[in-house]
Amino acid sequence: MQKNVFQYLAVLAVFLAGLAVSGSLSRSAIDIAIVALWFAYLCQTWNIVGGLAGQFSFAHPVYVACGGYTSTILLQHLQVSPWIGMFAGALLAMVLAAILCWINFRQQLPMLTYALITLALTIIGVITLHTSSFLGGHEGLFIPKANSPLTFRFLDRAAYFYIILAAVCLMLLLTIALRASRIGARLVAIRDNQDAARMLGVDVLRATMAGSTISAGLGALGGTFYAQYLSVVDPSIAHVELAVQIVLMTAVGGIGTVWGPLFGPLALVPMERILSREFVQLAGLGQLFYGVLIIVVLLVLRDGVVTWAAKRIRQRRMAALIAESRSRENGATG
Amino acid sequence: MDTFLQVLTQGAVLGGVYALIALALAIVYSVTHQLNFAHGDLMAVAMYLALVGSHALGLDPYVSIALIAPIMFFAGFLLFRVVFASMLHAPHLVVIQVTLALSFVIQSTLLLAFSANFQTVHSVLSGEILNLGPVSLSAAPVLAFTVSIVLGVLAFVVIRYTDFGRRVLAVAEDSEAAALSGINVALVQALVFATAVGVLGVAGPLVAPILVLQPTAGLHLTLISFIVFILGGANNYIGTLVAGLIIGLSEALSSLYMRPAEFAAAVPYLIFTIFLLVRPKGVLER
Amino acid sequence: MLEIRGIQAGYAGVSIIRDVSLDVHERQVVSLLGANGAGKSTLLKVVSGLLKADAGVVTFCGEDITNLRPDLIAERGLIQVPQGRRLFTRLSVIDNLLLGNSPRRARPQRNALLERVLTMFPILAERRSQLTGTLSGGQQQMVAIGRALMGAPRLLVLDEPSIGLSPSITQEVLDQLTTLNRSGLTVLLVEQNVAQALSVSNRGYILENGAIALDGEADALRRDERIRKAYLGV
Repeated sequence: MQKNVFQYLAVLAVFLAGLAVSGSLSRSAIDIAIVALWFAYLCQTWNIVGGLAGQFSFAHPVYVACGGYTSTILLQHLQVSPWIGMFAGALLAMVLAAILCWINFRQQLPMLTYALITLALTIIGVITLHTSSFLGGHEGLFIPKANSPLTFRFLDRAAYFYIILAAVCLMLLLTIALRASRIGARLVAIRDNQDAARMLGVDVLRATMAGSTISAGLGALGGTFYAQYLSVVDPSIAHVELAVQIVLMTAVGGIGTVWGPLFGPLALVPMERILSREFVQLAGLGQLFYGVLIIVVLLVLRDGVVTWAAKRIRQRRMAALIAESRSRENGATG
Repeated sequence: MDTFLQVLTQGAVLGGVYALIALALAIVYSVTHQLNFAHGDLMAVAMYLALVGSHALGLDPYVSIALIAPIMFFAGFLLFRVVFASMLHAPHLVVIQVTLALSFVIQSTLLLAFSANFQTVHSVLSGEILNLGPVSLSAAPVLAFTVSIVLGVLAFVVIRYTDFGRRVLAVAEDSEAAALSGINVALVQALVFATAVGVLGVAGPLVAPILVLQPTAGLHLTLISFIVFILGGANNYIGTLVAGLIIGLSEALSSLYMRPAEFAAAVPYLIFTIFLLVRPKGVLER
Repeated sequence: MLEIRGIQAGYAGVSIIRDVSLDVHERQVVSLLGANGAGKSTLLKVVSGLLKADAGVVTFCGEDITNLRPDLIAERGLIQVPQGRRLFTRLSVIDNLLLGNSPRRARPQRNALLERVLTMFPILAERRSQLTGTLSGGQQQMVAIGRALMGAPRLLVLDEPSIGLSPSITQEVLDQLTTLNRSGLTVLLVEQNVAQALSVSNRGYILENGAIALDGEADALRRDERIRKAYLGV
């Protein structure tokens, strides 16, 4: 309980720190910050199933695309504000996630099949987006720029920064609450040992269904945000590479933790952006550096930076406790 | 009719190559229980090595196999010792993360070295046509198919009838019991991994003249080999071959009949999804 | 021949065996006895290299083999028949036997060893191409022992060969061990079945809660009051 209070305070600190730096960021820095926070948000939503339940999903790009495309189509054809349209996109993503979950867990297929079947969906999704003229084909759909807060459009980039900052903080709160909840405990049990969880009476299908639909719906909201921020939504939003980046950034931070999905993107996105900007003629250098870094982090720390740091702190506390009890014993005898 | 037969044969040819690379994946999986998400990227490396051989040294891709296969073999051996051996007892999730990162590294290295442009490799067989009764086939894919089948049969024979193959099967079934019998398990695993990468070193130059090279080509190959591996039922030679042919044929036929044609690329994934719905245990698994 | 001194080992930092010492002299049959969970298998895993020792030394034929890789230990002639037999069930009898011939030291004698094993267990010659997964328990145990013999062991270690076998088949297996021992093989036999094991042994060690509780000549142990009460049900 006490730990949770401490964590809630830390979330508040993150939010205030975000507000504090926002004024001093340059135009390009604020863009990097928005993208980094957007990645953090996606990692956080992915982390619900990928992290807590240990079921690696590669379908997140599809969910993100569901959000971005649905809200944009509703805006263009029916003049529905994206603030409302984004929930329609979320619903669509949730239905897709439920179907995938059902295919996989009804037959108790091995964990890797879930990874593959979600990958299959993403690839089918990208190809569909590229080939559908209704969805704008390769070019995608454009959203005219305007200053109209009611339709989720702002000329001032800072507005997008505040929105995504708030979303990231809300996701932090949600993750903390989820980890302490019954459904969170069930998801973690599934990650540790699916068969054992089943024997203990956890309804694996229901738990993963709940987790992955929440994860998909929240991911879709992130899609609408990105479409509004860029004023365009195109098939690149649904590429497999996005799923790979989500997995890897979360992995570097610490899969299944509260802070890992925030830490990973905030460390990696700016680094990659700056490297790519400094070495424009060497396309791929930023990514190369970042991939090697990820392998090293994973092989050396195994569970990501946040998990590693938490372990170190715990070890140090244990050592301190042992030393204390020893000195007390010595004091008693001496 | 002519086009139909031709497309059919082309699909079978592609399917044979798919079966071979899925087989390489499957054998590694059987001894290490690691699924390598960079499998196809390693093949992409071999394809680009054929490009380098052709452009820089003027070697025909078929000749360059003599260089590329050993290079890939040793690279595979090192890669296993440095990266994969340290993850042998790690959970599946760690293996996925690390191999995904490896795939990312390979793709960005290829991007850095060769740019994102599509590239092609020419061989002595480029443009050569074989006339077989009513069907005329390009020679290059037929060669790729033949070599794939020969390598597959060779792998089968080595595994079934040699001391080394017996050790591979022993490690696959029970690595601890194998170690107690005096088998150097780590060495068997490294050799199997290296051989699989060496096989990619043969397959890469073989298909380089047929396919278009781009740095991200590996992803498709990885996924296709996963799909074939799962559809075939793990460790089932005939199943893997049948699954490879199914995927190859469906890809070829749908590119002929599907509208829009780009959607053909999605067909293997659709088949995979449908298969999981109706026969989750694979094609030939009883 | 085998000297175990002060071995401590366990899993995830929890010690299962503490300060265990044991000797096997050349041409002896030594049994290591104890109830389920006493730590017998843990000790054997340390001896055969499957588990790292946290403390202590294992010496074999004068050479320190502590924490050596399992295949290198087998290479030195210390060969274990694992608990539950652990055959390669998808391979034939002959393939299993040939796999036992993996140590380099034993390879030149492959044919002689195979002939010896097949003479010793004629039934295996009959079933040479049958998959071992389809054999009876007694036959599987023969394959397991045969596989170990194919590695030309200097010390044969058996981990609970009686598990899953009827008493009469167990007796047959033990008789075979006696024969092997007479022809010069040293044996370390790990068993729960105290009476039968002691009947074929020269010496015995009793392991209780991860430590040696008692050791001595087999005959003396069989007459020991505590053992009679605790293990022989007399």
